[in-house]
Amino acid sequence: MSKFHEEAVELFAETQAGAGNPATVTAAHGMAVLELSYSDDTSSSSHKYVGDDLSRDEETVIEDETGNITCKTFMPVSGVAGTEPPATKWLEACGGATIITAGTSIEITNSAASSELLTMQFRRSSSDIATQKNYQLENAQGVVNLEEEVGKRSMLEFTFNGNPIVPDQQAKLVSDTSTQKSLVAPLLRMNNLTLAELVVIEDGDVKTDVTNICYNKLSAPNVFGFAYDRFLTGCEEGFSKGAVATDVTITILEDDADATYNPHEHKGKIHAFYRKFGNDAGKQNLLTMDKLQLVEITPTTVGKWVGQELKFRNRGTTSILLT
Amino acid sequence: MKYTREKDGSPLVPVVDKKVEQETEKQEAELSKGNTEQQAVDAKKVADAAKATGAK
Repeated sequence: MSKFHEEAVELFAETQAGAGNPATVTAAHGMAVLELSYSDDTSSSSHKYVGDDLSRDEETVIEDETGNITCKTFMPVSGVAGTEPPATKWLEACGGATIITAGTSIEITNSAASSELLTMQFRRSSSDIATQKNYQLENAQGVVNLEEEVGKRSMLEFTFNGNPIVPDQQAKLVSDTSTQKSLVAPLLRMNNLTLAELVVIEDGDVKTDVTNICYNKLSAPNVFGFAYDRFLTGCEEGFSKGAVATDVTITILEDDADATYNPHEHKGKIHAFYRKFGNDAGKQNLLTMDKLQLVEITPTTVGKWVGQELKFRNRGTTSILLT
Repeated sequence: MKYTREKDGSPLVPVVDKKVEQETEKQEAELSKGNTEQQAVDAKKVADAAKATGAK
């Protein structure tokens, strides 16, 4: 029998032409990811036939099965302004539309519709066997978390769900991820963080504008704000998508009560947040969240310094602009 | 989904995926074929009904 090494895994993904029409996956569709996992989720119901008191004749009906792939990857850059990095296709399957302004920028945003479906292949193998066991998901869509900490690389955490096929054996396909590995955003540090702006908006006007909020972490689970419900019909099985508000947590250093920005003064108010890093053209990344409502302030620490964890509800649009 | 625009603020133009276009054409062709088959089924139903009622 073949024995698969736990570290010998590959992930491929390609955009489908439509629902129920799986894409042909090639080496060029490999995803450069970290911490990759695959699991099946089965939904079933149990029915016990009436009978005598010694009967254990309970039938379990497997009603539905979905497959789940989780992985992480670093925030991409465009390399050359206006050039799409490979990661956009995965973000498109998470509700982030790609807007290409030729020669200028790539914007990934939930302000325009994007319901792309992926064919994904999670493959197991080992270095001494020539084949891979292929766990394939079709009609896959997902959510993406954005996790950032100053001093680390900006990280995208994906969770994809799709329709699994029975795993099959395939000739070994070695992913070509060299382009992706060359298009990774620089380390998020003070020397390349060119904008960290928090704006308080009241009655449509800018009330307070802090152009350099001293932040340490940003956590935005499900950053594009979509929730999925499973649906099954006679002609299509998949996931239906709906927009939802999500949480965004920004950790800052606590400042004087009479500082320009005193969070307690603005609890419940609408904020906008802009974060830009990257010094060189083709490596710049601007995050914009235009409607964040501050709902909770929790004491925390940044090193030994007192910090504040600001929890917002993201009620507006989110955009990642690569320039 | 991909869109293009000439410059910032310009209207968005959806990028038509050739694969999607081909798939749509394929589905339309299948639908058309299905229609022909359905017409044949309908014609048979009419003929059977006429036979059953003795109509000529």
